[in-house]
Amino acid sequence: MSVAASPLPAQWLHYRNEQIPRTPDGKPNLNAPAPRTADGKPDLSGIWDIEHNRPCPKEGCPDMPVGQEFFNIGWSLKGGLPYQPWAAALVKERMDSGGKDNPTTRCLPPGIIKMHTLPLFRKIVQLPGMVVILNESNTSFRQIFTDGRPLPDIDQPSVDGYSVGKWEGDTFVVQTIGFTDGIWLDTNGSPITDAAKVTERFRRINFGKLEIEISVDDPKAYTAPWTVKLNHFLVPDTELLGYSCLENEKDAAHYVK
Amino acid sequence: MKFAATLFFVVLAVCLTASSLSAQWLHYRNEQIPRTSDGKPNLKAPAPRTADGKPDLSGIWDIEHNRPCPKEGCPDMPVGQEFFNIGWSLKDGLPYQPWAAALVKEKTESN
Repeated sequence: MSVAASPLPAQWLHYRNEQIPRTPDGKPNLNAPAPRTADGKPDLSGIWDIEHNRPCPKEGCPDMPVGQEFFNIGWSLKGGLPYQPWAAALVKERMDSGGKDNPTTRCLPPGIIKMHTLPLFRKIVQLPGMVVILNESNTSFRQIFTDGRPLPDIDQPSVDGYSVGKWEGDTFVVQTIGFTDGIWLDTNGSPITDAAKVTERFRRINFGKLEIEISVDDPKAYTAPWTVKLNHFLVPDTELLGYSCLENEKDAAHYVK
Repeated sequence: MKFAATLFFVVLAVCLTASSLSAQWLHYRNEQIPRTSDGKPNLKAPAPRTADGKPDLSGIWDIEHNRPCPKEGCPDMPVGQEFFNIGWSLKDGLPYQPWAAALVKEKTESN
């Protein structure tokens, strides 16, 4: 892709968003304070990109570079993820086999954690009673209910689970349960099980930066709970593109059997 | 039409193998919905409005199930007439250009 395609950022629409604060020269002021909704809470709404914290390979930067956490969600942890022995063996097997069964390479949904690491944009829409995340990835969505409902008893687990959120000061705290087995948290194949409880803490540091702290408590797969922190950055003056992974998909035929 | 054919078989498979699909959706009582005296949703109540007075379109919506069930029984996830033919309600059908009419004929015949 890096050799053949024109720069990918040029493909996104330009739409000047009048809600974005500007510097005197008209450029988005991404260091301005975080906006707030009518009820005084920080407004997380906006189009967000990952942190591009992975150096380009010597042959050049790809058009759509991924971050470190795309490959290893525990990249920032000193001792790595605290896998249970079976989970460590599974990750080794998945890495040794070239990630051939990675769901996202087969256009299956990534789940909420891997979604935070995809280089495709996502748009947060903060509404009364609900926060919606619209993902370019397979033009998909996620709902986080903020109307005070409790987490339900899960009789039908899913890839994204079931999410409820509440505000603790200026931090939006989201709890999610109800995951299916078979989800990959990263390209290495770190697993998560139906026992997992995921807590995300969203903090909009300023207009242009969103910090997402992800805590995973999954005693089936990990010997201890673990927490990582991701940064997302606002993408001003554009809109999401529609994206279907299966459209014109020609890779699957070449995967390792 | 490949999609339609695929979906047909998916629908067929669902009909034949699954328990009632509607049971798969979560039950969550929405306190914003007006109720009749027996506690059922009053879907004939006036449309809600947002704070600025505009009709509020928010909600989860289903299609109109306007296609009779086949004689072998209703599928769990029936589609409407427009699923097959978006111009179904037009007296003379869609006003295709000749090439589009030929294309639709070809697609229909290859389904």
